[in-house]
Amino acid sequence: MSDHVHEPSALGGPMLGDGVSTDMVIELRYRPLGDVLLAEVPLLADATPGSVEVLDGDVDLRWIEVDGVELLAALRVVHARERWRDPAFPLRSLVPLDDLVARADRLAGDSLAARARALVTVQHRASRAALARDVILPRRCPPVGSSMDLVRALLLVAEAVEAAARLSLGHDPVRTIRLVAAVREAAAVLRQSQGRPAPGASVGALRLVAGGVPLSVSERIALRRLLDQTLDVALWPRVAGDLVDLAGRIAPWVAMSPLSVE
Amino acid sequence: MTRPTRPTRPVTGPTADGDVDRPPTLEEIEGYAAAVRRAVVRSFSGRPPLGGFSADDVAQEVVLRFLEAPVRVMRAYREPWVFARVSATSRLVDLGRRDRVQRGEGVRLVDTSSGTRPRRVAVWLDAPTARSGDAHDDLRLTEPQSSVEDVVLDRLAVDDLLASLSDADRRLVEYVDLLQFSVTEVAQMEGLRRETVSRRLAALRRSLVDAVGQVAP
Repeated sequence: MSDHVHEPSALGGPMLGDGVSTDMVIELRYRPLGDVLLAEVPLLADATPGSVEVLDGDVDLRWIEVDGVELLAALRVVHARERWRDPAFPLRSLVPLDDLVARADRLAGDSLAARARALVTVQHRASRAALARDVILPRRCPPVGSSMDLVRALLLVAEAVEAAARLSLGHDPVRTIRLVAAVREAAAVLRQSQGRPAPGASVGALRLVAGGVPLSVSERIALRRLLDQTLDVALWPRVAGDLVDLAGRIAPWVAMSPLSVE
Repeated sequence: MTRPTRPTRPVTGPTADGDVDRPPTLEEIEGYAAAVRRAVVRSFSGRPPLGGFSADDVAQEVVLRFLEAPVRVMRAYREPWVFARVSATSRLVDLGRRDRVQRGEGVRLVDTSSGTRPRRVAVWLDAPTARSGDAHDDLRLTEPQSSVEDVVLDRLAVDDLLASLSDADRRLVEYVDLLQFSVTEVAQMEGLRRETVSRRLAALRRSLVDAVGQVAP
């Protein structure tokens, strides 16, 4: 079984700025394990380093200026499937992710090693106009916030869930470790996302708040709501406070002193 | 090169139910591998390509490295992104070495009182002096004058020791040196005195520097 699909381009090579051939080839690479999409427009990406714009904790875009117009040269998206579910996601119309995911599903291997190696590469074609920054991101990026308190609160919640699991007999350990890991990952991503939200990581964690974890129904509802609200930077200060309160309800002893230094 | 001896203290397992002996399930291993890949790709966020190494190249090598000994890695690194950071930097070192060999360059050597040795600097646990807003700055990935290899050689040297820390100490290290909270912030977060956290970190750093010393040729 092949763990690598490559669709060679049947397209002619576009000429940069020739004013005649306006389509450009985008090389797409999708890794199903990790749900990571990387793309590059070779004609642009090899030109100059350009400028990198971090859209949020999941997405960054590299732009190259050609004739006074910023064009998309490369992109990286983590939690791609999650992002493509959002109708307003700016790259949705540019990259046919559903096609990549369908190809990846056909590659699903029997072994973890095969799934880890699985890679779908496709050469896609887009008009030069579709690569313009003004088309992809007609609005400027939303304002950034200070994620410090939010990160701290998420770590505290992860600690509280873990602590609650130690005292709970009826929970599912696999679901619990996945939730704890996802919340920690969201915290780590938010810490490093330069004050921008991390929708993929946050929603990824949100989806794991389900039965089997050592939380009551009301605690699960509250955690889902708060993780959803991490997508809005303006809500971060209040969400951080609410998460700390929630951690206190889940495991009061952790919220009081989560780190015991000898 | 002699690596520090792995301590005998049992390390915390990756399970959420406190059962350190339960081996992780295949689903847990796959989830960890996926998180490792995401973390490596994220470590390239906001940066142009590094010397021809794409994020995918490095991420794939790190994932495959994890799959060589998943249980051991998961027991040593509770957080996938911590393993991803350490391992990604290590892979960059390997790729950098390969690149230098292909260019006909040799290893970088410096003269020391104990003779000529590979150039290394002990910066692994240096706390950031100013908030940069980017927790990956300590990887020095984009600074042409700094050497990822130098930094990472010491990281690898303390790798085992880091895995041997107690949960509390390891979290302290993670908060300050990986998430780049300041000592004051961590003290506030945990309801401890700043001096207590600072003193504990200093002790940890001393032990890690000692570990680096043991690796000297």
